[in-house]
Amino acid sequence: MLFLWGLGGLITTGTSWAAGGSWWADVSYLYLVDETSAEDLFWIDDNGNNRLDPGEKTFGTDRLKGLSFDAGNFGWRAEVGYDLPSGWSISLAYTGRTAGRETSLSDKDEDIEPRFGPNGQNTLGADLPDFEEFGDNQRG
Amino acid sequence: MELYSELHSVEVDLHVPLWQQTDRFGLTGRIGPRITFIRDAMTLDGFDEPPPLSRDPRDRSDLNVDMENWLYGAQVGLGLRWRICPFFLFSADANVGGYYADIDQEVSFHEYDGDRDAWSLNDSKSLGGLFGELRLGGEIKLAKSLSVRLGYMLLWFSDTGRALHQIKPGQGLDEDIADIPRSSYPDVQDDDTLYYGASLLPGHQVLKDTQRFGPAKGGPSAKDLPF
Repeated sequence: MLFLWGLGGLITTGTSWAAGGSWWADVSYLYLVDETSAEDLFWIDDNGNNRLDPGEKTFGTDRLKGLSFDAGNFGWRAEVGYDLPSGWSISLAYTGRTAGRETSLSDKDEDIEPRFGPNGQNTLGADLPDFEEFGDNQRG
Repeated sequence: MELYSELHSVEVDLHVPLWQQTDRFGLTGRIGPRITFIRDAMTLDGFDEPPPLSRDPRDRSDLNVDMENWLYGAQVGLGLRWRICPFFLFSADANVGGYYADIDQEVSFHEYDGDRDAWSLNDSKSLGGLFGELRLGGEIKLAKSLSVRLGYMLLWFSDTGRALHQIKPGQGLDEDIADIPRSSYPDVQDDDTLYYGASLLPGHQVLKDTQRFGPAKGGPSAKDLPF
């Protein structure tokens, strides 16, 4: 018997025995971190030549300050299968995950300029002092 | 800046018992197709353009990158179940496989304080890749009809298109679209992706494993527990 156990939104599953075989299923809850990061995509250019010169610091996402929230890393895995009398079995499984993050670029301690892209020219940039005052600079 | 990502993966597996020792230890092989969809999006709102492109120091622009990855593949794997004692079951599952990837990219730029129109670029890329998965779990039987399994999971894809990897130097994406040479359009960049983390399963998993290992031929089993 495949059953649902409703307790605080939890769903658990079990095994049922049908003629000649048995059905089974389970549901796992996941917390998965996504390793892909933006750290190598931010770098600073203190002297305005749009290049990361020797000795200049890189700008990692751990330096991103301001409003931020983490909307996830949560997921789940569900699997249902059927055991054949021969000992073989077949199964269908789903693994899913959704995550979101919002953050703002700001560094109140240093006048640094993060830019998208690795070391190079013509990268997209954001002038941090402007960003700190972004709310005041917006045109109405 | 906003980041958003989705992962959906569906697999169909045929499980074949390879080695079984009563209900204490079992090794199973599996093979089957697997389809994965990964969407990854980035929105950068309100960044200023570097001079001299900026005509007004208060110019602001938005950049959006939206990536969709369809990965069509197949996998082979091994599953291990080891009932160390009547109250504890260790499980390990490993899969490896290959896939054919369709990666779609959409990059849009919008300058809302200037006089240039918004534009968007679309590109796509197809390539092959590899993936691997590892799931480890320890299941504790708490009562006759209650167990909990805590685990660790790794899922790796060798080639995926992620939003943060699409912006490269020299593309001039902050210029008027008419001034951007086609050779500088943002080609689809691919990189690997690794998911890792914890898993939790509350419920009746013990019944499933007892059944799949067959009738007990000796030694204690979960079915024989007094509670």
